[in-house]
Amino acid sequence: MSGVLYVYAITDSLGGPTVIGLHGAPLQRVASGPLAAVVSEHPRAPEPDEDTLWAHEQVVEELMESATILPLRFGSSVAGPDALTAMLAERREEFLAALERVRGAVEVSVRGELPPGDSEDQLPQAGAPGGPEAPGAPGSGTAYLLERAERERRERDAAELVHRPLAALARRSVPPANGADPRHFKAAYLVEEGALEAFGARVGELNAELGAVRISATGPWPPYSFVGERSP
Amino acid sequence: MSVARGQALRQRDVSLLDLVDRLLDGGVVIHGDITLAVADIDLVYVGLRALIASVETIERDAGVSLSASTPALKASAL
Repeated sequence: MSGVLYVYAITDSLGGPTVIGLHGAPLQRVASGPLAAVVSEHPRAPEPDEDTLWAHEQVVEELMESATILPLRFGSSVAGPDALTAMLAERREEFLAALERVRGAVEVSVRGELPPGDSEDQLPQAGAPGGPEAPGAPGSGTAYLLERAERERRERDAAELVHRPLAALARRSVPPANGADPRHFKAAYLVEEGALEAFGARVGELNAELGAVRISATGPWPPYSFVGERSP
Repeated sequence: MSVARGQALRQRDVSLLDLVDRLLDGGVVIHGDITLAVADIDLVYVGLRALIASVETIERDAGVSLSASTPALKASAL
């Protein structure tokens, strides 16, 4: 083989995929024991542009419709089937455990956006209201630090108010984390297929209850956040 | 590619940011010398994130909503 094998997913489900791979390439299975990798052959590794990301995602989603799968990170290629069967054999226990973890469930992404700092009094209070008396005069360094600590506490509280009820409806979760902007947080939930509707409804209720916090959810996604070696 | 993407979008409100987070930061990672990884996948990730962040800023400041399929989001600069 002169090209590369591009890998989409690892599965323990039987049957040949009827899905078409990237750039129209037919999908193949490379099996090792109870596991198989779903791959397609290409002259070179696919280009990482936006269209290819979407196309990759479509292939993985179609696979997910009829099988329990572990999605691979985008851009995973190997030189040939031997390297793949060796990897499947070497990491068999890890992959089998991950397949059990995600079987029958899908991933939902949740993002929250808090109101701008000047309206932080609209933020819901999770704990007891009131804080320490500000010892510093307004505008002093101490007052500033206290103010900032209070704002960070409220941001954490708001994320918790979103996370707790959603985590209760999920099999597993990646708790809220902030990006560069502390007013934004994101979390991920592994939700049983049968509980997806209830989960979506709860997101809607939380949006209404926590007026100042804007919550958005996307999915169902393949369980990308729950298949890594250190995944929750 | 627009037909394929339309199918992938299905009924849901897809965010390109969520897609990038999952495909480039999640999933099973196969290590080591068997991987002929895209050499600068990390640069692509950073580039797409920066692009998306700037689009989000535009949306917020201008009060407009750009969908994930808007040509403005195309990663042509990559």
